[in-house]
Amino acid sequence: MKPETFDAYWEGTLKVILPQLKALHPNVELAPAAKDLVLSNYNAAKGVQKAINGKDHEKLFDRHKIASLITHAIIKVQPLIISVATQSKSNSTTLEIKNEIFAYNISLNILWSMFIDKLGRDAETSHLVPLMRTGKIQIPDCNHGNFKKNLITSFYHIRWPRSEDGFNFLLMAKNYFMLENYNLVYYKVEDFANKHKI
Amino acid sequence: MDINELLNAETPDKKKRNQEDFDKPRTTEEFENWISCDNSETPIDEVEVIILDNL
Repeated sequence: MKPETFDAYWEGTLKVILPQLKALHPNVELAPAAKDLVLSNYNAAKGVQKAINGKDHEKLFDRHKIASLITHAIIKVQPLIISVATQSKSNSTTLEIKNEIFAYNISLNILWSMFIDKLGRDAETSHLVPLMRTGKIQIPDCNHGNFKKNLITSFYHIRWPRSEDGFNFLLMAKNYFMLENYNLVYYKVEDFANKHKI
Repeated sequence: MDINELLNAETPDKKKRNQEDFDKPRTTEEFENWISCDNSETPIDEVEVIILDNL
């Protein structure tokens, strides 16, 4: 990713969420050189993952993997900090959550931009793009919390100690939970359609 | 178009195709290619940047 592309996502995302975060904690600020560090972490991780998981190195990583690697880079670098003068023990957890919120927002902006581009290039889906541009991303409700809350808590699960063979059962459980919720939405829509036959 | 198609659900036809695809014998290389869907059509630098304000 070119620095100017990353810059557009970084600055655009911060413009939206930083005022919200500062309203809650005025002392939240960006660590010096954080942006360059996140981008270099992303580029390095992408190279490693392509070598390990990408069978055809000429092909581009898809949008899910790009968004996932950006999430990882932000969680690793923790670009949002609290000024030293106001640090306390209780700050560390809330600060971690703020970085997770930033990771969630910038990753979904990247995912959504690439998704809209893909749909716009496909004759079967291009007609959806104007509606999606207006409606923006939809966050499904879940039977506890919404998708956003569940995705952000999964960032914590990613770092949870895994079993001795490396399997992260909490993250896998989260995937199954999302499938449950897809089905709940699916059958609500089907029930509605059955009751409102055209 | 029915609701299954709209919701991109697994219809009986799709289920059959998916099962046949899943059951197809593959070499290790073919299997690794099959599970790694790592291609995107457009380089990210050519995609219009959209910043959402409803996240």
